Amino acid sequence: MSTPTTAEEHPAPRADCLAASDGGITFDVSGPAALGTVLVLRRRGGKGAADELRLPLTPPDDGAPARAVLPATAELAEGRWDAYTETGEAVQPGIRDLRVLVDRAPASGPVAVRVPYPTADGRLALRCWRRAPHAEAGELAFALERGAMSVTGVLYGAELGDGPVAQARLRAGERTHEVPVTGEGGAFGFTLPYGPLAEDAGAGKERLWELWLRPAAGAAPMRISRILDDVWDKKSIFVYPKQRLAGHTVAPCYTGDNDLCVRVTPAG
Amino acid sequence: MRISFLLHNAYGIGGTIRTTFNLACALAERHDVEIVSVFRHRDRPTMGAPAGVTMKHLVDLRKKSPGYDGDDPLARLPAKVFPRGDGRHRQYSRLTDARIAAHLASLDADIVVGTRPGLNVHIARQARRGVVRVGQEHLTLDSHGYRLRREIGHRYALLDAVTTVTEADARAYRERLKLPGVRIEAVANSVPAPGVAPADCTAKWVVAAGRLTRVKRYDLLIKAFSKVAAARPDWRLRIYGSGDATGNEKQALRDLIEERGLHNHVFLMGPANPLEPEWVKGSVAAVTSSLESFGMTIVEAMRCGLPVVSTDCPHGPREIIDDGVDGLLVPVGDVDAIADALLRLIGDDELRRSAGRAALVSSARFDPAPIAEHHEALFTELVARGESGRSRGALREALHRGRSSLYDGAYALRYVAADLIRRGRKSG
Repeated sequence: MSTPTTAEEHPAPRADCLAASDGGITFDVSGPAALGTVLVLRRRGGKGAADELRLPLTPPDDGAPARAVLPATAELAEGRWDAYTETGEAVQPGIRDLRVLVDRAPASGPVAVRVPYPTADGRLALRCWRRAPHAEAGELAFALERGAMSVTGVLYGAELGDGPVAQARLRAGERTHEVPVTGEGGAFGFTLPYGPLAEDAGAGKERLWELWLRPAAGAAPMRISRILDDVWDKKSIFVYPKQRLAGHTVAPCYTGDNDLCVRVTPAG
Repeated sequence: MRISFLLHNAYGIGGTIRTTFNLACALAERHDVEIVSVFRHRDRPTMGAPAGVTMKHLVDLRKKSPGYDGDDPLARLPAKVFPRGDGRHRQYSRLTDARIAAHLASLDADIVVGTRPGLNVHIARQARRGVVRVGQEHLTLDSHGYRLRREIGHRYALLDAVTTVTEADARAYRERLKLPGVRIEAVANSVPAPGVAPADCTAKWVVAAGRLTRVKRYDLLIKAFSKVAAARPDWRLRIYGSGDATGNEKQALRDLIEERGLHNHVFLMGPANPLEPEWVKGSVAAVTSSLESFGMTIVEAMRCGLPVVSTDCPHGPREIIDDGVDGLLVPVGDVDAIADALLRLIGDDELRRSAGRAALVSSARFDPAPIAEHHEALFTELVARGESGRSRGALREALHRGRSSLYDGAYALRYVAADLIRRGRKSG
């Protein structure tokens, strides 16, 4: 009556990940007996030589698993990097010890973030950002009766000069609103009234305003994002109060890339 | 010993599955252990096959499998042996009645262990003579409805032992059911050592984890955190988990966070598996449930080196936490008490660290090895007693079976009557 389970199939390669405070990541790989000599990281959608990184895999020794190390100095372009074995088999995520990534405050140099995460179909990938300079969003505050939100954050690799502004840019790029930015040293802050963002928004269409920071008149603007922690996709976790304004609902949100935006939706 | 576990579905995700796998795996080091899953809907167990344990199934629900049983006409008829009072009754059928009966009649084992009330009833009624019968209770007697309590109060008399996960629940079984000759013993659930280094209790995060259902009372935790954030805005709260079939409080909790202006301080993180790497991102764990049959998350957090603030709810927390030493117990439903306890640990670095270290040490008693030894000692004793106890047992059993057939008749009649009444109501 009872049927024994068939013999154990080929075990999938699996990697435990340990993030170090300098940005390096150690992968301990287990699974099939022959794992090969490298762990391959490949940027999704990338085809160039710089879109593949081959990390030497130390063979397992005396009970210790095979190990590959992504050094802090490695330059990984922004995007999603999938992990494969040498033979091209996708690697599954094991235990991801990312405690040092929580509340990170990098000291100097380009901001490089790598967060190992499980993809929706259960494979191991690395979410990478590389920013120089970088504007990191922090707490958001709301003056709902005045129809505005305030953003505070920290600049890395840049300082506020003369005439710093925050810009709300409609994604299509045809409109921009600017507000003045205040702050000292690396800290910045600004208040963005919702009114102009909801004006002429038209009926039936959602608008996404991207937030940028120009640290000084004439300087290049940078995206305002929130990437200095372990939460690789903030869209559904960092959720903020909505406000009704001129027939629209307005609220800040993060994109799937952790960029800060303001979403204006026609109120149904 | 040859030990045979009977599990509802070894291929899903859940606390009972995890606990059974941990136990089976530990026992398999010295014994012949099999897990018989009533249902199988996947090729491989979602929670990972336990090493050294033989896996079998009775009803195959994999549509692509040659042995697919879903089209069997018996699968559409409601179960008669599996009790209606068990919450899983709808998944059982005349087919499971037959398959489980055939399995239990041909058991090649010294001891058979059931893992939920419905399966314990099957074992009590159908396990072949000579096999020691153990029924495990992973919930509590209180959590069962009247119908199920009444039925197990009758059927469990033919088990050799019932194990509960807390002393409090064992007392309830001893005092409220008349089960002469049935050994009733509390054996805690096990939690393996985590695969990560313990927390150092310096991160300014409080962590909670569990299903986002009413019984977990995360609304109280969020309200308490309102007070915490006012006093210590540098500390924040992460709540891991999602809703389940019994409910989903996510939107209500989201609304509460917004109402209290806690969007910079309280985060609903969604589900995480495994949880260990998430616990160690925090320095204090919080449990605000109104009911915990055992308190698995409390032990998990402690094994990661976190002191736990928990409500003193029935039944588990006070049997796990040594109040003031490795965690803090607070009255059920008391928002201020929860906030004050969190602030006490947040405000005292030395207390938090020492309580975290104490939690790490004391929670080692829930390691699968000592818990398996407890089960093993009980099983060994029951099997040894089996030989001498059997003749008395046979007489007791014959008498009981006689009474059971009367009970079955009355039971069936009552349901026919109840069905008629229901139908009458519908048509009227």
